[in-house]
Amino acid sequence: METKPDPTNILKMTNIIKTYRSHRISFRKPEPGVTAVDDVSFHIEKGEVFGLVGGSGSGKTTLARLLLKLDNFDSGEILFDGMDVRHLKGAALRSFRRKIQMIPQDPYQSLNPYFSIYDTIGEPLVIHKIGDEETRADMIKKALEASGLIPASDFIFRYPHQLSGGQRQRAAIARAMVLDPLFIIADEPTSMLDASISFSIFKLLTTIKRERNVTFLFITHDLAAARFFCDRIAVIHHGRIVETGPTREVIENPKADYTRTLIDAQPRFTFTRPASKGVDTP
Amino acid sequence: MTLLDVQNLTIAYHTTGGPVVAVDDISFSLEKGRSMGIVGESGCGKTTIGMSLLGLLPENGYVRGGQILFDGKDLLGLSRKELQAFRWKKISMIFQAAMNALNPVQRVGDQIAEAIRIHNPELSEPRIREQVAELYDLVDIPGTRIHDYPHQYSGGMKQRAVIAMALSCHPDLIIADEPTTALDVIVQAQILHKIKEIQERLGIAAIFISHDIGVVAEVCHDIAVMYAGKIIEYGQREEVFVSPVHPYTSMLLSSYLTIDGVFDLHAETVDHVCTFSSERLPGTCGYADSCPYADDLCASEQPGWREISPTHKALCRKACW
Amino acid sequence: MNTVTATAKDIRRSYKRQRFLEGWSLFYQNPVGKIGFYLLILFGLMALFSYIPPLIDPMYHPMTGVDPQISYSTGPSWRHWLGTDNIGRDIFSQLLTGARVAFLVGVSAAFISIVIGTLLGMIAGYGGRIMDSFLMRFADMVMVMPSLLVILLLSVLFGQLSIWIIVLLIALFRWPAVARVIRSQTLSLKQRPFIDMARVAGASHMRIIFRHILPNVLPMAFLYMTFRVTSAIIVEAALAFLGFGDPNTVSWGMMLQWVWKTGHMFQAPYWLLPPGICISLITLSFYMMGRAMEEVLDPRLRKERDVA
Repeated sequence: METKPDPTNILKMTNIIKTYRSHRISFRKPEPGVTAVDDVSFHIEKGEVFGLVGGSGSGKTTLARLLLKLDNFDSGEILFDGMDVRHLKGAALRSFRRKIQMIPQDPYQSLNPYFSIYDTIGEPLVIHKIGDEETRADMIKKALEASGLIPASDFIFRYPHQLSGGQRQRAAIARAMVLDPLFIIADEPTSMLDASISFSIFKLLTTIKRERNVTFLFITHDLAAARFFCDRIAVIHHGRIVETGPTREVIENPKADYTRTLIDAQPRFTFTRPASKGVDTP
Repeated sequence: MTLLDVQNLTIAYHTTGGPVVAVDDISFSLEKGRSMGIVGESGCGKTTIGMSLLGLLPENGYVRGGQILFDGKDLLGLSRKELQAFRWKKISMIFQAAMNALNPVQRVGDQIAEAIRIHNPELSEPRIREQVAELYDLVDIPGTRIHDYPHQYSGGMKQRAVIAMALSCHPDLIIADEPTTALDVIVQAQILHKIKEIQERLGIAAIFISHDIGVVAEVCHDIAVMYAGKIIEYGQREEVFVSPVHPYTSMLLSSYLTIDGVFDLHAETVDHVCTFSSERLPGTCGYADSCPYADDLCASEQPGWREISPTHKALCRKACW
Repeated sequence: MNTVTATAKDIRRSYKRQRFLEGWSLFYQNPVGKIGFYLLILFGLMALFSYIPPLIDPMYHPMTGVDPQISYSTGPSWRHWLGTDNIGRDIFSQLLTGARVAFLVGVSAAFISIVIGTLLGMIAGYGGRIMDSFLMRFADMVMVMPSLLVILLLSVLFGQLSIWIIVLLIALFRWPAVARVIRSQTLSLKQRPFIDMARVAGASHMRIIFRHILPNVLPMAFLYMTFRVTSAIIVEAALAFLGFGDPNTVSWGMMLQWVWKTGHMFQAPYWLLPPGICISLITLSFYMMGRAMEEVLDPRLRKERDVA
């Protein structure tokens, strides 16, 4: 089902509800199940970084799975670049999969241990039948270099266990970027990494956003990271969005109680930090 | 009064590739009632330090040199039996992934009572029950939950129960190794404040081990920054955070995102990996390869301790201010 | 071809070789694995040498060769190293041929059951829900069938079964255990994020099953194959001993049956013991190999710990 693409909004979610039921067959009354996503609506504009901020179990990862069509939702509508995600099939689904990619949370688990970096990054190209072997090799090299694995020849033939956590995450980013997608979902891409490495990953993502004109959905529990990276954020709690707005506004003037609790829980250096080294991001 | 005094501690692991030094000539001391944070990134040896204080090094780990004095007693000279008596009663630990530390088929209250009974066999049963109730009170779990099983607790409550268990024998020192890693941000803040509050109220000394400077900054008086098996900067919290001296510390601090929106996008960060190897030359700075300020001497000369103030020092040749 | 793609293939190959060598050295360090391996080499040599005696003299043919001078069972001699059976056939050459048959039956039955079990296990685990319930209930049904009894009944119904039919029947009865193990492996693999990542990249179900899941379950399948070999050999020996083997092949079970049928059970230990010992040792060797492989594959069983 192809409707006309919205010129400003690349993604529009309307009244999404997702309930998980236990699959056990029971002759008694069916159990009510857990509502992971409860009537969520939001839209993401082309080229912006939208943050979905919430604690564990808030439903933020479920939303990402629904959007990636890894799971089906009960009701509501997801429109992505003019496509109705719920009814995608066959060729339409394949073209959808080319446009939307994901950067995973856990770099240790998200790369197939039996695939070399060459195979890992090349897989989307093989699946979508892009280029012949030679052009693919070039694309893989370029993607690696763009992700900061330089020189590419040092990394291209390694296997995941031969890379550090930060390098694996860079490889995962290269894999996501190799198809030149319109939209990237980053699901807590740095939660398993050390602070200095996650900072460098953020810098890489910022560069990608600036140079490739990609729209990001950034999922995080960390308001500080959201502040660093996002233009607008939505705060999600118990499957419901409690507050949406420009990042700075939400953090400086929180309206919802939950947002306020979240802000208070952030570690803060209560003593003065050297201001000379820092620059305020716009 | 000094409670814990660690002198020139060196710990190595036997591996198939020969011995690997994980903790390299570390010295620090901790006063009664104070808290210290050990910060470092994965693989820097911080967990090994915690384990060695409890005498719980893995089978292939061994102390190569140095001493650990606790209340004037050398822990490394204790026999296995003496050490067991010492553990929990004097030093206790809140483990990494504490949720798994509870036995799933035993009521939580009974598990805490068991810990008290083992270490205080002279106590009467009603007295033990009383103590368990007091502990529940202390960590803010409603007394009605004493008879519940671990799976009925939320993640934060399990963590509190583990803290209660660590406190059950009135230790003088608590070691908390990544006490909040698996928890939600909000629960993490609550747990940290709880630990700090209890620690101050009961005058217990504490060592927090974490990869997250945010955690350490919240709760610790003193901070030791570790890199590749060495403490490279040591000082009071304000000193280390306000005027970091070691380039690694500055890098760590500038890469930490805070909610105030103050970032330095140009901060130099390197995808460095803490590596230990038997080949590393003894007389070099481990950070020299990644350090933006390093010169040729850094790679060939042993860095010495520079004192910035009586309480603040750094292990860096370049630290001259 | 571009150098990068050429190297990609080389590297993939050398990586596989390296993984194999690493596994092999772990395997070889284990005394159980080493003993099992040497035993297996011994039996392999026996199977190979089984072609030689009939070439030396037709009377050494295990089936048709009869020593013209002997028409009763004799003990070991220079002419017949392990003696002869009641009609004068050479026991040693029968024993060698038995090794060949044991390998043939064991390995091919195990291989077929592994292929079926792995395929159905992956489909059940990956398909989930209805597919899973259906296939697993079917597996349960096959698993609880008394396989030996059913094969016996079939051979009574259809007369003597050829060795290949026996192999096939053993395989058809022995896949469910493999399917269960592979299914549970697949279930846990399916939860691993790299499967989701493959789906996000647009991989088809076929691709996910064969390119992502299969390589990850293959080591486990090979492990189970060694155990299947053991059981296939035992089943074939039991069938043969009970008189339902292929009358045209000389298996160790068949030899035992001849000993029994001709009433030499207690008179001719030189005839009874060699096939009995061989059956025990060959099953033991495959079992030991399996145990050692298990240790290679399951890091939890390894004694050495990594640096924390």
